Amino acid sequence: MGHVTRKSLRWHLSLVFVVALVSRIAFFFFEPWLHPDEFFQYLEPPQWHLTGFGWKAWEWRDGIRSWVMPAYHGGWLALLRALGVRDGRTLLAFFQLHWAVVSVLLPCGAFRAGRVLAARVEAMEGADVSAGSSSEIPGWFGGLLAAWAVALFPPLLYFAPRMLTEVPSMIAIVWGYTFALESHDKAGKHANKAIVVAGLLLSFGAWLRLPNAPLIAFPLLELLIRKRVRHALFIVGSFVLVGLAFGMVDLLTWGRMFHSVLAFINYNFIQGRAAEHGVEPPFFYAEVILRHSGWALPFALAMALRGIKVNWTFLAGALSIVLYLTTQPHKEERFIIAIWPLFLIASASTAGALVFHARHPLRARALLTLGCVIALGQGIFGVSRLPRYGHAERYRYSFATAWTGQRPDATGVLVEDHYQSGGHFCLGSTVPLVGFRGELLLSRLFNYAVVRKGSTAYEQVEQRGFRSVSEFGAVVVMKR
Amino acid sequence: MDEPRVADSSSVTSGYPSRSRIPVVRLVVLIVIVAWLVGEIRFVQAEPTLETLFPATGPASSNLALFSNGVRLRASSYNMFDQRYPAYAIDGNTHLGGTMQWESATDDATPWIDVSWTRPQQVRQLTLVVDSAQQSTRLFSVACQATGSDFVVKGHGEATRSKIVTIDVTCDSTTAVRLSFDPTPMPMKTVRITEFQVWGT
Repeated sequence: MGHVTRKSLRWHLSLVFVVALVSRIAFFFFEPWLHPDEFFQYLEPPQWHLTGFGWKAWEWRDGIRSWVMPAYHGGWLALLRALGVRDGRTLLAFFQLHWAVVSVLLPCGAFRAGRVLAARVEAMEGADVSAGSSSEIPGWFGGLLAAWAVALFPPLLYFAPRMLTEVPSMIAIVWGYTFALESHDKAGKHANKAIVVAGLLLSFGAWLRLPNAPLIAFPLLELLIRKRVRHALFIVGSFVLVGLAFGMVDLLTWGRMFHSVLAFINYNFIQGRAAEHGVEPPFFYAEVILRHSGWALPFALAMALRGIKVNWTFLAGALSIVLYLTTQPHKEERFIIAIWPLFLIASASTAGALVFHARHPLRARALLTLGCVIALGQGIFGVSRLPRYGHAERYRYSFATAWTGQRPDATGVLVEDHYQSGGHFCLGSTVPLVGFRGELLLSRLFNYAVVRKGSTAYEQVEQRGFRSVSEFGAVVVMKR
Repeated sequence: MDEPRVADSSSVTSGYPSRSRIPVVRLVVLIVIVAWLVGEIRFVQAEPTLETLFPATGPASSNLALFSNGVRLRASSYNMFDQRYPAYAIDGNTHLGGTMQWESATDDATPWIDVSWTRPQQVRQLTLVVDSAQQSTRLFSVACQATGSDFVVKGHGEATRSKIVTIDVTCDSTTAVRLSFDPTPMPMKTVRITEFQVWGT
């Protein structure tokens, strides 16, 4: 493994960037898993703020949600509506593609963090990584490998086009870890700047998604271990500052500072009511990790542990999330997606550094290639076995709702499963949109119905004179 | 931790394409940020009116407020959690309760609802069917709006639960009729109307 020039490395990085972007956009066309929360927690609120119409889920009645993410979506929604874009299906595609594109920031951050970690591993292996040495760009191979890993790991592709706080929180935290890591190799004002950026990003990721907040502890701990107390205080100060900003948003929207934070903690941790939304077995997350890593896990873990002296913050962060969320009764795979980039960076950077300085380069490269192929294959296998939760049908419901909303003669819409309809965000209209109940058919207001072919609701609407006017797979739009 | 300092090659750690493309990337990012900011300002300033323009979907009805006449319906608020849309008040059903009525929001102290038409109407009477679940008697006023003018109050009434209230009014060349409910003392009580009918000549 020889040296690389800056120019060729830039070409490599450009390739990673392009492949990451294309693969995330391509994944969008496979209609990945769609969670109703994406609509009713983060798209419906800005919709009702702009139009006055929408459905308020219980979280918005009890004030458990912050307006930060919905308001961010609201900016785009307002702009698109001003440009005449009202079709729900188009709007949905915009937001999914938006987050798919934004998630390309992850492999970029992975390269930077991986390069620093790999250079440290190389130094431990005896390579000369000091400034001015013949190793012109130390750690470049480990960084590149980390970037590829994060760019192509299937679960990260699968969760990329998501309108949930998990995605921006993960991106902010990974970049926060990256800047904190880089600050150790800087001095003076450069180090200060890196730490300030790290603090802001870590804090933003933590406040945006409170269950990710423990991740902020490990970069902070490393600073304290390195006796960089002033920089540690920067991180703490950033956490307070960003927290105050989130608190102010709550004050303006809910009428009380930190209202959504307190309500969230009260509901989930004090009352323990998260369990009402489903209880998963204790080893749920272990099963998830094994499903996506399988035979590649021992290899990846061995690599990560080999470099633990330098990458312990990344590993500890990933492990801490899994451990503490395991104690919570309600578990979903999306809650732990932040562990993947942290683990992959730790593992791939070490693997890259070791291969770079292997005594038997050919054998090392062959092993690495085999490991990567196994990991990729396992990742694809794991994603293919993700619980479907009927997500394909959700697309049909939301597309059918969007289509119905564009009908000029629609005066009211019944939808068999309101939770899967995409709400008024998809409807794009201000006529009533209500979950199906037989009694509502007595009201002539409802002249459209979105139902599943052959269901009880389908039979009921047919008896009331509704006839099919459009089909979306198993979901049919009926009209009277 | 005693690792040697790694050479700071931040020019390569940017993760960006080549230097010559960076200004283009920065320009694109700047445009995107500005576009979002423009949208965000519009979003923050939005104060929408709850308004639905119904298409004419049936034969003309003597009840001028019926949705199928192709009216424009506006309201100050509605109960979003239980989906008690304003449209229920003009759906033609006078005997149905449950969720099929308009209910104002709990934080709406002075709810109102109005219907309007593209062509002026001669309005002579209003009928209000008050839902059995309405918790308190609410005083209301009836106002009519002629083309190019403001609303002018033409009558008053009391909306008591389970009652049908009929108000005689004389509104010539009217393009809109509004019911405005007076505030009640706390705790806030919502208005729940099963049907709102407007009769003309």
